[in-house]
Amino acid sequence: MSGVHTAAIRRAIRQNALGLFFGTVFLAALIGQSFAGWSVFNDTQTAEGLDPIGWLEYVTSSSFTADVAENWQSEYLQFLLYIWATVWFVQRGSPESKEADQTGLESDADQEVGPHAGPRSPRWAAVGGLRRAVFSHSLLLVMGGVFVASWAAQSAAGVVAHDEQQLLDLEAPVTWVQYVGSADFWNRTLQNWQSEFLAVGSMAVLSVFLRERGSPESKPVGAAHDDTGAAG
Amino acid sequence: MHHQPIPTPVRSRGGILAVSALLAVTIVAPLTGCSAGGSTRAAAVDAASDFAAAIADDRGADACALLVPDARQAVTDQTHRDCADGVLDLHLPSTVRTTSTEVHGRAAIVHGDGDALFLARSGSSWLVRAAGCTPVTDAPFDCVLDGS
Repeated sequence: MSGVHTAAIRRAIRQNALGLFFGTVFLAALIGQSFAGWSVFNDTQTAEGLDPIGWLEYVTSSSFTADVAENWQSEYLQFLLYIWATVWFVQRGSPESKEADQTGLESDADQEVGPHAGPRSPRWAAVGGLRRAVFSHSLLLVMGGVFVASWAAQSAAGVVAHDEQQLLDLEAPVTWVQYVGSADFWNRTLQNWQSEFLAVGSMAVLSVFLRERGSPESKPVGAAHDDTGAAG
Repeated sequence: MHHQPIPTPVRSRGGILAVSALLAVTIVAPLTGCSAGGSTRAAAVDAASDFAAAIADDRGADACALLVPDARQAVTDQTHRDCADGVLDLHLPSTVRTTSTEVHGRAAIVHGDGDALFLARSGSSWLVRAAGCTPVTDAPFDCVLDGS
């Protein structure tokens, strides 16, 4: 491998280190969850007098899918709401917030769209019509799409996992419609939502008063508490 | 918060679409294993039919071979006889309506005439956990044979 090639790879890794880091820990946590969940599932099987199942069968089961999807949907809802809320609401002194006089969608000049787009602007920022509108809201659209898809996956896998347990308990299964109105579905959903909303709310408020030197998520260490929107 | 945009290569739309497709597949693909595929449901139906036929034909040993271990123990505890003889003493229903089979994950219910059979998958086999079960409002089914 040539020195130029190696240098290019190293540069790519450095420039994408944040995404690579979280991608790696995500995969590690998901794999860890699959083994822990497999162990719990087989403990239940054994307690019911049934043979244990293999890892591959577990990770393609409704039980594992529901457990993954219920966490994904709440994370994407968290970001969906946070991205939307930070357009319209401010938090004085928070680096997560805009200035109070900048609420809303802002001017085309500030947003560098249409005639205000630069030579390096994405093409759909420069054009007009539907393409600019879609690109202007593409982050919300994708976050919202993943939220809806994973919440749907939670409900679809969840009803199967719920009904599997119902049958093991010698109780009647329920339909999907009955399940999405059930306490089990909303208990799983809301316990995830409360923690997500607490997390972003805490971040918005704590970052008013607390600092982490060098993080763009924090104000500069010496910035005033009422200094809104400053990055560290 | 307003940062100066950091110059980076513009990502291709194809790349974004590929990632979205991967996410969709990752979410949707495991669902194919969630509820019963055709062969799984057929196997549950076969196990229920075989159990009912064994009861109808007084083949106690064959019927016991299709019970989960806890159900075999329940037969022995209830009838104070070995399973092959005791299971016939319970006068369990010998007909099932296999068209009314519901499979959810690794558990199934097959309805008969006014009663039901509960099955569970153990390894790759379907075994009977409870038989002669009648529904009870807001409570588990009441079963003649209960191996749960």
